[in-house]
Amino acid sequence: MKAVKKRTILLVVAIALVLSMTVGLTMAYFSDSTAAEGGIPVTLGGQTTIIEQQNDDNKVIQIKNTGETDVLVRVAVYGPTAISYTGEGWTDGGDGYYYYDSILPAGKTSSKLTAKWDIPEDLGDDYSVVVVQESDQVVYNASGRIVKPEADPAWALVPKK
Amino acid sequence: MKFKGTKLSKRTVALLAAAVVMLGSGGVMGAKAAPNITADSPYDATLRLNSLAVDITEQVAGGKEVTVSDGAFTLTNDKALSVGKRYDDVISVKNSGAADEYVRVLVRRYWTDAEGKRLDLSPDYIELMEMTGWTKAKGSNEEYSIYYLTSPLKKGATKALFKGFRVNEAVKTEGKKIMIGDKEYDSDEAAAEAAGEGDVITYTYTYNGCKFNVEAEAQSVQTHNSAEAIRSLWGVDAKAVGITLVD
Repeated sequence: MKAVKKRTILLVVAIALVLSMTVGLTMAYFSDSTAAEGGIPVTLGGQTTIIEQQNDDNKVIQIKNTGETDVLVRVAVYGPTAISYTGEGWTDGGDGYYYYDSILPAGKTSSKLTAKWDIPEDLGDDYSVVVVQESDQVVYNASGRIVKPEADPAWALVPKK
Repeated sequence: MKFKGTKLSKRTVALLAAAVVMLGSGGVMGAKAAPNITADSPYDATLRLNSLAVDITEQVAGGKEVTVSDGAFTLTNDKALSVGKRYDDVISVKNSGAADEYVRVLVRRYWTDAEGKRLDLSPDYIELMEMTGWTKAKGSNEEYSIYYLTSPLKKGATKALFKGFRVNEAVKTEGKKIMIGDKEYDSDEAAAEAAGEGDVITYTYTYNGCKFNVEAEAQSVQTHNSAEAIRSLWGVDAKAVGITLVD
């Protein structure tokens, strides 16, 4: 009986030795690994609104970016006579539009652009002045330059940066 | 055979002998494969188990380098992503262990919707600016790439894999639709001409609201017995993938 017990113990020890070597071999090479991930949603399109102050012979115009993306902005005003424009940060594109010189960031409002006209005596108060503003999301090319809005290839001016 | 007064059968002796032989051969194999055994003298062998560790780090433009292992990339601190803009964001691997190591990085890029569901949109529009010193595995495709660092990464050293990213401006035009009500128009001019009083021209974009994703998994392996280690763990021939072996 004793002999059988010892033999069993020896067998268990032998098997344990073999198994321990198997474990050792699977850990023969040292290695490590780690991971990380991230992402950002892309928002396309822009949203702007006109803020204007109407006076007797002029309008003071500002554009507010109400969207989530930076935009380019241009403004044209049509009235009873030729319109003259004044405003720091605005440039005449030579195509009937005045262009905002800078990128208008999301949530920001442009500087003021004043559009002035002469009131024809024969019209009295019977005339209208229309403000047209256009905007488009700022998009860069691989060289880091701002590209013209694809909606209007005739878009005359874009900020350099 | 007697063992302290106990008789052992031939079978037991044979089993014990086999165990000893296997133990002996296993020990030899283990020593060959074990990476960090150094013998200071023929009579004084030291077993030194150097820990191998690799981390992923990120340095957003204007920020400090931080470890992002098992975490998330920041990518940019801008409130909204500007399409086409190149963002300086350096993603690197760092040897944070106690020994030199070979490193490879598995990179995935893909698009998901607001609910996180994968979309069949072009991973190529997620542009990652690669650094030198890496080779891209031939089996890589537009979504999944494997980059091998061509030389060992020294203990404590950091090596940049990407120096920045941008989302290609094509996302602004691909799949764009110009609509007035239910009717679609080919161009802005056509829509403007057709628009009557009170009509609203609506633009929709395929990529609008989609999220681009980048995943990186860094793996490192010992430099000792490296050819076999790389073949065993990564399943590739080190030289064939452009790794310069130093041992």
